[in-house]
Amino acid sequence: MLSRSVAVWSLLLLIGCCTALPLYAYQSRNTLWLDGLGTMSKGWGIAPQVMQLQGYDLVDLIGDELPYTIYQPWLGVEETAQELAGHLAPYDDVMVLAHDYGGLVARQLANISDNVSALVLLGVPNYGSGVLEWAVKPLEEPEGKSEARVFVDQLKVMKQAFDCEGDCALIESFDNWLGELTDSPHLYAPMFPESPVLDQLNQNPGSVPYVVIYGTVEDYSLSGFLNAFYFSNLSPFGNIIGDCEAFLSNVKKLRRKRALIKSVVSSLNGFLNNLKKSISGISADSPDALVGAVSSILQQHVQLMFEQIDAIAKYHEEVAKDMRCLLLNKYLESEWLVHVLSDNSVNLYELAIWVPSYSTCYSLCTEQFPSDPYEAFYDCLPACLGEEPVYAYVIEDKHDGLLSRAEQVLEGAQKVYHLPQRYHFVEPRMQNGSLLNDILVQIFEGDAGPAFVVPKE
Amino acid sequence: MIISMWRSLLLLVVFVSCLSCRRGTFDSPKWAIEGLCEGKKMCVQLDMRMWHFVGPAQAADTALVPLTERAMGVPISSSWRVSFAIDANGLTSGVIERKYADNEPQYPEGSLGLVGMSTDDPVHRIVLSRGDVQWFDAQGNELANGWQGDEETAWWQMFIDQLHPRTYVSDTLFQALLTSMESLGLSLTHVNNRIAVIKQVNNQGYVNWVVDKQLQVVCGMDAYDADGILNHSQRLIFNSSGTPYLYWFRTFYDSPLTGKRMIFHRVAEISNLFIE
Repeated sequence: MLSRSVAVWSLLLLIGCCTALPLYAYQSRNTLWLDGLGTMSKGWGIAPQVMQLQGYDLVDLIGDELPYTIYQPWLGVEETAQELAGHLAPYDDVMVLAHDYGGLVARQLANISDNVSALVLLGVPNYGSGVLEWAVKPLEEPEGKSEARVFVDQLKVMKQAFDCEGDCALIESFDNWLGELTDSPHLYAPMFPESPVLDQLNQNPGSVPYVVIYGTVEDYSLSGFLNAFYFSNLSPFGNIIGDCEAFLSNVKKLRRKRALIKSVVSSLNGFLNNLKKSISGISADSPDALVGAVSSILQQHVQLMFEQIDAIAKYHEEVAKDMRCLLLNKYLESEWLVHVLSDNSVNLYELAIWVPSYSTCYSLCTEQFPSDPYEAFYDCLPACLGEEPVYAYVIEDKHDGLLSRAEQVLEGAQKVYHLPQRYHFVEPRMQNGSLLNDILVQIFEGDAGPAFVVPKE
Repeated sequence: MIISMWRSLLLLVVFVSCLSCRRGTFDSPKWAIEGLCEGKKMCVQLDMRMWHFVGPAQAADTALVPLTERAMGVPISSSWRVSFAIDANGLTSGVIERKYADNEPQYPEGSLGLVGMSTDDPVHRIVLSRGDVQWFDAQGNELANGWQGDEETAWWQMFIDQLHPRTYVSDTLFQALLTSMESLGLSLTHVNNRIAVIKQVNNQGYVNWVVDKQLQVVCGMDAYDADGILNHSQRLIFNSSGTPYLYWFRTFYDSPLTGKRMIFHRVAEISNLFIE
């Protein structure tokens, strides 16, 4: 009896040991780090190695075990996932960490491969990207260009017409980035809101647990976004692209104006004053004689007078030109942002602020005196001006320069983490002690559940 | 933009203003910079609050303006104090400084219209010192420096020379002066008892100069292109005492979004103007 009981207990212990072995024995965690598309993501870089150096025992499958060529995102979400699934067959319990487009591939991979056990989705357009659709999706007319392409082409034509050479390079920089995107619009199509790929993924979320890390920035400007892309936001000079009102360009413009007014350093009023002094002693018997006498004095000053008023007119022309060139950049900034926020789940709300009623009074007065713009300014406007509330359009949601929070945060996540102050392109770039590092440490330590645990050596 | 704006403004304001400007002594506490005017040929101080916004040229188009332009239609302000003096050699000294007025609007955080707008203009202080120019940011870091240059010096010398006490002539004589302009090839349009418009045709189109007959000054300019379409325009608006208090510059353009005629407005409010 005793021997039977020892045998049973021994068997149970053995079974227990064997079944418990995978849970407690030392085992590396297989990880697959998927970058986004090159035009939208700088990639994970050395992130896996940074985590390894901190003692996390992970196998970086692409690189450590498999060639880089197994990840070919240009094949499309489904084909890329299919390709990866074939290569993952020998590896189990794989955690996929993915940025941007790579997140869609990861989600598809999780649906078709039994080897994937957890997903970490960083800055992924899980509900599509409104701004990408605006930037890339071809319109039927004209010539299959995207809405953004039509708009930017229009701005470029205007910029040329306004002679904005030497202005900041915001439009050109955006044009370059847009050119890279629109070279292969089919590649970005899965990231359009309600694309068939997204619909399929969102309707079939699968059973693999996932966490979401969404990024946000404080600077919503397109110029900041493009700087992050072209300079990784690390330029010691701050924003290089699109710093359209920077003092340097002003100095340049000022020099141009100095040259323009070099020969004419007076004003029309100064000239008028001199003329008045010249004629102040004139008297005549009749109005006609008076005009004749004044005319003869004017004739002596005619050349200088025309030089002066021409130069003043040219000076104003320069001011108007500067304003137009600046305005084109503002248009691009504003239009970009409207589309970044165009997703239905992003709220724009109106909030009243008090400002002088210039705009309203201008409309009222020019309507009241349509054929007499002088009356509008010199009688109506001063009487009308006061203060009034106008509506500011306030951005309620956050975004990472490219994707709004709502576009990133996939419903049903085990846990949602926030990565602040990182532009979309550089979200996966990390170093020891960075915010992303802290988030990954939390995840690897089991903060989001055991499926995400990475053992330490 | 601030530099070009205040220079453009000075072209009109200062010359017009001395007929009504407040006189003060050099050591009066009204001068923000102590001793600024000592030994100088001329001294100017003014506060300027600048606004910019866009809007349709035709009020009837207001309802058609898309969100992008509605956001750009929210007036954005920045305030500056301009204090400078010019010595006998035409060299300038003084400070042009960003200041924050108590009554500036409180823009909510995340206002769409503010993104990429000039509220983040890095220049907060421009220091002029006998022709040397330094630009500083809000933290006091020097952004750049330079020298005003020969042309600039010549400009300021002439600026002083032109700043004689304003001469008034009789209404009859001033009217004769305006009428005589026609003998120079300019056409004259009398709009009403107060305003006269002088039309000057040039290679690009024509310019209408608006003359205030009561103040006997040029108070506005409209530049039309060769097709007779208004291209840009400026107005100097006076308060009841004849002091200029608004400088309004309008730049017209066709919207890249709708094709509708739009205006980029820049309005400068002038206050606390002193000239010695």
